[in-house]
Amino acid sequence: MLARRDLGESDRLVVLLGKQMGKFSARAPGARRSRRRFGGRLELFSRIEVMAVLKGRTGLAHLDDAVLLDAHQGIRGDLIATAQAAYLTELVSCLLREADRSPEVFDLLADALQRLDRERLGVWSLRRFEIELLKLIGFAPAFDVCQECGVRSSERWSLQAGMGGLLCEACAPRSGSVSAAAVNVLRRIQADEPCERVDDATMAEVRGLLAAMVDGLVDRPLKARDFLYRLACEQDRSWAR
Amino acid sequence: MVDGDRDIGRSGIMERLSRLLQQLPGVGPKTASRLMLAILSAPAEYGRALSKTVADLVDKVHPCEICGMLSERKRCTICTDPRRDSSLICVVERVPDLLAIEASHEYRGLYHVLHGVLNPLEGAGPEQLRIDTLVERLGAGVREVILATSSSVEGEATALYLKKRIAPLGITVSRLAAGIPVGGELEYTDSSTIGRALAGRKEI
Repeated sequence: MLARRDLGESDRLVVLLGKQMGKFSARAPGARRSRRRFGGRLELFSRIEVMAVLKGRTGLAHLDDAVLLDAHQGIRGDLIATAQAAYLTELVSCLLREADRSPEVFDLLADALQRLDRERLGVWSLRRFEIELLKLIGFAPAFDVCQECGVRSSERWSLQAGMGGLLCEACAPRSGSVSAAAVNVLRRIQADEPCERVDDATMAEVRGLLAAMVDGLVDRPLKARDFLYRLACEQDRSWAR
Repeated sequence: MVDGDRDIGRSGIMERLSRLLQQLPGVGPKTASRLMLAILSAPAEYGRALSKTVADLVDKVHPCEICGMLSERKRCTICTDPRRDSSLICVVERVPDLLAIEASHEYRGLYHVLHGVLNPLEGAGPEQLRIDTLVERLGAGVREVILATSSSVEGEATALYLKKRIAPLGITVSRLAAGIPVGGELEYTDSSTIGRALAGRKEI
């Protein structure tokens, strides 16, 4: 389950991601008032099996029943893991449109939540998730070469979020603000080749670059990303890189 | 109310009151209309008393400066009651949660109302809750803080955050038990709740 909010006096609106259905919203009647109908099954991050009637006209499905497959209790026992799970689900929710069918995105999120159930994700895994998700929804970032001239190395680069990649110093002489070290890390993350040691400043630069790429595709700021960063800064700075 | 009803000579005041009533939870056009007609058909004193009481409610009822419960005075009747156990503070999300615990008659300590929960997806962080005022209250004499936030993801996150803030002060932090409701049947209870009930079992 990606998100939920109260609807009227006793109902809930839930946003679900189905492996075959893609992202869809459903009304869960009586979910707030009666614990008998859905119990604790409509909780964030939970993996559930639902019986829903799809309404053609409004696009809002009507939830009849839900069976809990995995509540991911481990996530709920750790504040940073909860914030990370919230960020990943919000990211998926914002980048996928309703009814976009993508079993690969489902698997990506399900795997990440499964891992979060056991342990917090490192910053490397979070960045890898972002790049993978962008690829799966058709916006694979290109960090390997300059999008204008094809050159592979440059002292400074500039991010062209609209082009989904980078421009070298020669092609964008006055706007180069991305370091070669950050580009190298982005390439390694994309190729899933972990680096031995990356300094905090470079990882923060990488985080900012990917955030800028995501922001270019969504219509509102991601609240859970800001929440995660603020919480990480307050509780454990190593998670704020 | 159906569209046709709007044509039945409604004055501007009636329309305005109907719209205001419909902003209340559980009140739709029909209920708003019923309430409005009930006020009009009652003696005029009733309507005036209702109006004055609503105005007083808005002007004179504020959050208690200690616990955040609603009160006509600076400090609520619970915080100023000397028979209450001031070594216990029960932390709740909202005023209705406090009222629910009070209705149980099982708790004689004090309260602290957060007026919300941590909600990552809504961007609601600790600074939006009354957490600093809670920590300020935890001086000498407080031996236990009971976290009575809901067992949702948001409620659990809030409880984890509070535990991290309070535990270094050397005060016992406890959490409301979660499990099978009184009168509930195991067969119809979800696996997550059963799991938590088993984890929180106690010797009898």
